[in-house]
Amino acid sequence: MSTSLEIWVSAALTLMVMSFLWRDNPFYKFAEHLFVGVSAGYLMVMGFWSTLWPNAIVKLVPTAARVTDPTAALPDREPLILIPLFLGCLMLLRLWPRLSWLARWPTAFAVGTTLGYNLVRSVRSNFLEQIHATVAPGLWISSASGGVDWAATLNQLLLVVGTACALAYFTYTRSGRGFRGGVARSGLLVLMIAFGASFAYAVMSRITLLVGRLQFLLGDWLGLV
Amino acid sequence: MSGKLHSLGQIDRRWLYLTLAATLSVTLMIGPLFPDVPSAFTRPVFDSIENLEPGTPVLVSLDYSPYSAPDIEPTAEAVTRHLLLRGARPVFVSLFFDGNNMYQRLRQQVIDRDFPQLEEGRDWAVLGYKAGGRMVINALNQDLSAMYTADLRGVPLDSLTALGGMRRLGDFPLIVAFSSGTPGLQEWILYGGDPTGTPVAGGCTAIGMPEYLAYFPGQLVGLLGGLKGASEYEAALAAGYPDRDFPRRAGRAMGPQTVAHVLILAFLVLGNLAYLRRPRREGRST
Repeated sequence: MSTSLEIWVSAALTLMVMSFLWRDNPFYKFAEHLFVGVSAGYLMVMGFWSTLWPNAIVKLVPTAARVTDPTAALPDREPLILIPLFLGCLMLLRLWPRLSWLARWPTAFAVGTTLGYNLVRSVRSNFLEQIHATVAPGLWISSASGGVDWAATLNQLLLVVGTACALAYFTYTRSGRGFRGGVARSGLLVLMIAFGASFAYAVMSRITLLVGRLQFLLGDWLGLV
Repeated sequence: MSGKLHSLGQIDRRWLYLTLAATLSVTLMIGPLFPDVPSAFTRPVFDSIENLEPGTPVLVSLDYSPYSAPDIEPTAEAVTRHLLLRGARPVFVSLFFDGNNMYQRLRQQVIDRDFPQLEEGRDWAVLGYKAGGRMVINALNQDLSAMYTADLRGVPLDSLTALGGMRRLGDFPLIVAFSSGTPGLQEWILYGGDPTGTPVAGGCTAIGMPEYLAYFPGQLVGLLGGLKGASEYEAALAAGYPDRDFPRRAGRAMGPQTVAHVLILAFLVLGNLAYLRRPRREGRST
């Protein structure tokens, strides 16, 4: 069993959180509130020292670099950093109702630049490349020996047909009866299979986190594994 | 029989939690190591690292936090171990502000433990976290020194032999991104791999697999998903380097994982049987 106070505190908090499975209780509430408070404080401190300090303060006052590292080389002063700093301060005006409208400027700037920057790359990588990857291999895949690779061919057929059916399900401009309705219902089946696989991965991920916590309790704390 | 099945549906859910916790605990204490084989998603990552020339710098991005560490850290450990075994030079960066702490854990668990003879700056480099997500990647596409003037210790980039003359992202022969969210693997594909043509290999949480699988194999060399991907990679490493004895962290955790899945499946079957066998007069809610 561990003799470290840190491990004991971690184990106690883990058990407090897990106690919610029994029912809501004061121990769980305590751990929950502590977690939210500590997380907010941690994020704020990390955000200040890893983002605001090196990217704003040090660039305006280079000698500030020596506060965190006495041997650091002094960077050049960058007065242009005042512009994003000013926009960032405008964002905070949302907290004052009379001046909150000024927060729309940096928001509009952020949305505009992000949209402009991302649009081309997203269309290319998430749309065109995906279409290319779906149809480029063709329906018949050749094996290394020159014959038909039946497993890969079946896989490719399923991919193309499944994609077409799923897209048909989201076509609302035509009546969902007859052949088109059948294709759309097949698309629904494809979507359900995809959602099922996604859910299975989600369960796997959560079990992994549970195993991680149990490894900590049984190993680091109790020394049983 | 019908009555017994029906009574199963009345069991307090807390008994199920207790059964799951007890089963997982016992499996963890036994510590079984099931055989694992690299899948079609894992094998290309292993092969692409195996084919690297010794001394090749590889950009490794640690974009995860303690929250997702149990899911993705074993993958990062196995791949880093493989890179150093091959004599490649990992250059660690991060788009998550927890990345520097994650690197410290990785260093303790892999580099200090298995490769004490290696030297930071010469055999690997740590450039660390930079805020900005995709903007950081875009700047790295232009010039590495636009974002980083020195490593985490303050040593100037020019003095880091591990970089091997890499000036921009496109100079690297491989990018490996371990990602638990945004910014992460998707950003490395969209803004790093696609524009520069640099191959991107990924490691992600299991929950992220369906999102990233769409990029495989065209835009991703390979994908290591969650504990299962890490376990497969460890198995490939054990088969490729039988003379070395490395810890099978993910492989050991796959035992409880497998048992939990079987147990959940059994609960599902029993729950559905109980539902189907319920008396007609109770009706069916949905």
